Amino acid sequence: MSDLTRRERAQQAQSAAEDDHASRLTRRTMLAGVAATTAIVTVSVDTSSVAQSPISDMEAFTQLSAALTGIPAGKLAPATDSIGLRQDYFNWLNEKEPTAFASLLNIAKTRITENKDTAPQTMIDELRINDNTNFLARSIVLMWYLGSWYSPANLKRLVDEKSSRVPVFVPHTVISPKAYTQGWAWRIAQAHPMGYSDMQFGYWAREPAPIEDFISRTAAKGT
Amino acid sequence: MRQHRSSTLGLINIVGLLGVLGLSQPSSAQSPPSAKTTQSAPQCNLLHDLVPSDPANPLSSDPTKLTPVDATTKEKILTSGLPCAEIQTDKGPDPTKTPIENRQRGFDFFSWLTFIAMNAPAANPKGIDTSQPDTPTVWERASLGRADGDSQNFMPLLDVMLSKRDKPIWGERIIPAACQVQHKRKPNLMVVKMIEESFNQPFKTGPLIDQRGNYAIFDILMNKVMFDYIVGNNLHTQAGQMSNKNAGLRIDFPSGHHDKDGKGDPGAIMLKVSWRILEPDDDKTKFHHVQALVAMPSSPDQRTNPPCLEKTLGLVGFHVVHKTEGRPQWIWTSFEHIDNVPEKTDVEAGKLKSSYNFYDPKCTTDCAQVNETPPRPWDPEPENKLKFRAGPDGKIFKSQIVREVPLTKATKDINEKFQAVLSNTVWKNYILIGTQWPSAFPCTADHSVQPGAPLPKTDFEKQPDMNCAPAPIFLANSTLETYSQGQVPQASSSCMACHGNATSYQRPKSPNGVYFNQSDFTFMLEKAQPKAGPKR
Amino acid sequence: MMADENVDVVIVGSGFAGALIANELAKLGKRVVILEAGDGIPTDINKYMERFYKAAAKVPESPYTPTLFDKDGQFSPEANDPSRMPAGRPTVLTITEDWANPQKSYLVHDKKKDDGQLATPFASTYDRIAGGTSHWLGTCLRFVPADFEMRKRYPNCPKEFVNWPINYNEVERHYRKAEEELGVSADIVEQKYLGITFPPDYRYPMPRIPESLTDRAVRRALQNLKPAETWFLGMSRPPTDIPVRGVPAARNSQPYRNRRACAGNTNCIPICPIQAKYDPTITLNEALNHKSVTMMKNTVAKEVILDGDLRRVTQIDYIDYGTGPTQKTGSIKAKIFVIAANAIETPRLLLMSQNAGRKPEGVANSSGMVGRHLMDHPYYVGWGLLPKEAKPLYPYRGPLITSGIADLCDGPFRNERAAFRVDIGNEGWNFVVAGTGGDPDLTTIDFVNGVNRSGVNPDGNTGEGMFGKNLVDKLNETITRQFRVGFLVEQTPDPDNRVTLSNFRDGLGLPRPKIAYSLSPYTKRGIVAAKQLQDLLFTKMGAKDHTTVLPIDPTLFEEEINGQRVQLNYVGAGHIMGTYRMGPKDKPKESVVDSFQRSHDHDNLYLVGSGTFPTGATANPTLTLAALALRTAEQIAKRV
Repeated sequence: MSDLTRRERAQQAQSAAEDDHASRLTRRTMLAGVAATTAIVTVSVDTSSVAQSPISDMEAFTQLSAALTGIPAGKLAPATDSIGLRQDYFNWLNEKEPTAFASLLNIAKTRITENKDTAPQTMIDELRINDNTNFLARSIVLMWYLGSWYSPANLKRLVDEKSSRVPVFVPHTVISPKAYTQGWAWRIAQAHPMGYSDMQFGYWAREPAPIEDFISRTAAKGT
Repeated sequence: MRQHRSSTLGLINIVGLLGVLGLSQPSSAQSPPSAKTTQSAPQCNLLHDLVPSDPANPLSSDPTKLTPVDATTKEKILTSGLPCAEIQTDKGPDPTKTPIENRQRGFDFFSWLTFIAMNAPAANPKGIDTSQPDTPTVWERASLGRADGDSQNFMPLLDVMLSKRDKPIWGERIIPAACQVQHKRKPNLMVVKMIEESFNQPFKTGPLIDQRGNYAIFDILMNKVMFDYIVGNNLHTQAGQMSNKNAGLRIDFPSGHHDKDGKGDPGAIMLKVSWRILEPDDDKTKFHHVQALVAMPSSPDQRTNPPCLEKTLGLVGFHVVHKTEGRPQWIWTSFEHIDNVPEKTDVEAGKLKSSYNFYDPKCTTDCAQVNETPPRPWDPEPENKLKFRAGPDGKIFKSQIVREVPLTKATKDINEKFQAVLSNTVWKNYILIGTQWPSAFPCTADHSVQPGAPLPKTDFEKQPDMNCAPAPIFLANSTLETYSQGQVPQASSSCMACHGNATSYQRPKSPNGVYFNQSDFTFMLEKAQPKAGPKR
Repeated sequence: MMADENVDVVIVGSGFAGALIANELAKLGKRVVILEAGDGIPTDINKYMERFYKAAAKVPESPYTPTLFDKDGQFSPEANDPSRMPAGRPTVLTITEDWANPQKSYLVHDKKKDDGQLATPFASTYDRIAGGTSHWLGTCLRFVPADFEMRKRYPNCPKEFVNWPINYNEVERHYRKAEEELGVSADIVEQKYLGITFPPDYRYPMPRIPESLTDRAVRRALQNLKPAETWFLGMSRPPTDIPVRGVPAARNSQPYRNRRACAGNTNCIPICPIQAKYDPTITLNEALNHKSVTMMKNTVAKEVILDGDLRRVTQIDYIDYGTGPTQKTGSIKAKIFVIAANAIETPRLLLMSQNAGRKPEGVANSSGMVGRHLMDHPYYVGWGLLPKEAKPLYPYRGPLITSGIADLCDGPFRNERAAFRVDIGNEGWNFVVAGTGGDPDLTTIDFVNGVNRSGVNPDGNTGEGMFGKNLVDKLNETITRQFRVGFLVEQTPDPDNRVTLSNFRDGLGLPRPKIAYSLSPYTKRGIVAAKQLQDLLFTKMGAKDHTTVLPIDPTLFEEEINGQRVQLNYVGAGHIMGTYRMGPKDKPKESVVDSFQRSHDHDNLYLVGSGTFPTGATANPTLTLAALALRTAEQIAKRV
């Protein structure tokens, strides 16, 4: 049985938690079953990776996004993902800023391979060095947070004109209705995107759940 | 696999169930004696569709891999009855597929087993293989006047939410005045009482007119578990819902679950069905059909009393919604008749059948606009007897409906397998459209409890996400959500996104008190009537 | 559709007033034809919601047609060229420093008024589409009794104020009828203030919408005040407790007529995704569900034609521009005509109706008042941030507005300054920070990008920005403590605030409305008092005031408050009133219609909507215009 990376073990544990008790009969029997297949299925979309192999672009993008946004990878791209935004954003970035995006992914892969634990900080330190990766990283945060594309060039312009007495206007494009309704900025505010509420009548008269429930909790409360 | 009792499928322990809920047993003189005696919990269908594993464990080692469907597997599928809860995992049946694809397959399998169990013959639940197109099904039993305490027995919503009577009685049909005479002559006919929602889709989105110019008819039914909860908590009238006693009630229908020994309880199940009126020259053998007395609804401009019409109804749409311990946001299953509509991609490719229930493949210049509602007024008029009225040119409007979002390949594959299993029967003409289920398990697990614990108590203060990430995001039945198909959040049909907004008439105890009125994903409670005066 | 003598009533416009009247008549089997300038009711709201979600600027008009945007959700000036659009309408997106540019703005703005005064933008907009201005908030406030009697009660208020020809008691029954038709949720005990009364057994159709956490914080802040702190309000006695009351709204708190209860999508303006908020397409659909009612969409009324004596209306000429390239003209006859096209389009139609030169002043205009006394509620907004030590308010949750301050909208001060009502916003800084796109985008970009357009990131205005957990913490700490309040201020009915016809044409060749508009000193003093209340509130809440006025803001004006020059501004509340005011029948030269909204000049012509309001008060006009429309419908029904 191959040596699972720490991340893969964590993901396996999360998948295990995601198996609800109604299927526990099968899970017991499954875990007793073929071990070799386990390593394969714990890596979500990119099934070619096993431990020690090169990190895929998608995996690098996920880790990069988690580091930049402060939202855990397991929330940005859960193992059971009914939304599938990660692929949409990945495609968008490849189309809009292929060169800078490739540079960012390389930085992420290098730092993760070098030391997974320090990678979130080390990759940020490195990407800040050059304007093209620095500002693209900010665009990526805003994609996840707001579902909108604020181009790196426009963000740089805002910084260049930060002393302007009149607030500078920069345009943006909403990436898709789906992206808008899944913006993390609203969840960070313990709220929801205006125009898209999953909540029930009267919730606004009560305090929201703690922020962990919105952005980081991956286990049931009782566990 | 354990054999089910040879009598009716899965008798439920009514007394035991009520004991757990803390409710007193309804003093219903009409309930059959079996409901009052202690019964052991029913057998649940534990079939699942997973990669075989340890043969030493009898419960886990009953895979029903559908490739190929051998005779033993087919037999099991057709006779094993209703699953009390779903069995699925992200790891199977196909380890090369993604976690969500595997789970979806598990839910779709659950949906098919449910469909078969519901539509098995009422008189012989193991006998679906030899059933006829007009054999009364398990779920129709109460509508045909033969109710018992069976949890799969269903009652029409309108016979529960009464305005005149104090308490509805399980299994008692309310025969509308217009149908009394015909009912006396033919007491075995199904009785369908129409209100606006029987022809106008939810939130008044519009009626559906078939290729013969007839209105499609919709009906909503609940099982006894739901009935007991509603009546036991006095939720069947507006006044009851608004009472002080119910001000603090968190509506929480009982969940289905199965226990270690394969027994269990199906819990709350609700149905929504759509019917097509079959004309004498329609090929009835392609539809499950019933003879029914249909009481027409009143209309805004009418001057005469709406009549009661005897019609042959063919089943064209079938929603099953089942609350389980693992999915307290319910599991949302939808089936359709195979000839209802073409998929949009089929239309574009010119791959059309010779006829459909709700689409004309042959019209050229005079087609109605695709997926457009009929011209107003929408209400059926008594003189037209459930045919849509003719326009100024003398022609009757016919809906031209296309499925906007095609079925996934995985759904089409599983449909093929089950159609082969049902190839002897009319049920081969029905397809699963999809199953929607809450996929954010930390979220759903806020409601679930660990194995062996008592019934789950829903976390009613729960935020942020009421619906726990429905998968797939959107789901629409071409006969029941005809005009809200699409993929726009909030606007396009998603069972859970919409039903998550369902509320009751409950009031807070004081004007500034905590206002809690969510009604556990069902719009049934809002159909409760006021004691007197016009319905709002 | 051809001219048809069997039509009982023709109604121009299918908004609130038009739809309600059509439905009342439909229930009695009357034959009604509705002319609607814009598009019809769509089969579903998929396209509306899609357009809204994709919109880069989520302005009130954003979901609806004619679309403001290109396929990327960007405002498209080409698609919105007012000289090419057949049924154009104003949009807030053209209220910039270039507000008076007739190439961009549908409304043609005079930069100077008739008396030489400088004009400022009329900042409110409307929709021209079946159902009318469905982008409304949902507020259903009744007027207070004094609102109907400004001249009588406040003899020192500006001379332009007049009394209404009816009073609260005469409208009360129709307030109830409107509340039932729209489905209003409120707690009746809470709504008895400043003389508002109800029959003893009346209950609102639905219980009130629960209040938000921000509402409660504002209430706490306005308790235990010192008289010296509130003396400036000019009430009979300086209040020491200013109540925060729920705002009655056409917003379901329980299932109502097959519609869901509110789920707090926080999107009332521009569109409720689940139709928990009433909009007139609901009533319009009910009306159209009767065989005797038809609607002609994409049909613009272009002239009201009078008979040879210029007394009765005989027909309305229209242009049916359909959705194809060719236009058709036509005319329609009826016994009675109702113009329900809002308070800018209605006077426009009347002024255009010159009847081959026989009526140069237009139809129904012997008083010369058609188009005059244009009013809005100038809406003054202030926004603030609680310090990080304070308990968060958790905005962006619930309906846009759940509560407000009503008790200050009447008092002796009305002799000196305009009254105001207060909205407590539940949506944080979403629409307030002008010129930048609003929150949460603005604040989020500030912290991500190391800039400070919002004013909350002065120390971080370095260009460095933040990532990761620090960013999350900072955003949560900041956004959860935002709030804003808005003040609706009464306007003087200035006869020189008016709608006339411009020399600029629309896509059908019809003259576009010309607007002359400014705020009176009386109204500006009202805004000053609003600002002082805002300052008091923010001080009591411990909030830092982040309200700013851009130097290029065309609505900017300066006032002196406590010896300091203060910059103030306003936005539009969307409340267009006054341009064909009602008045007593025995003084027909002083008004355009009587209290049943029937033209003094033309016996079979009714002009409905908030254009008939002689004064604007402070309450949102919808409930009152709905009540008046139902009252008018009863009258019409007796005549056909």
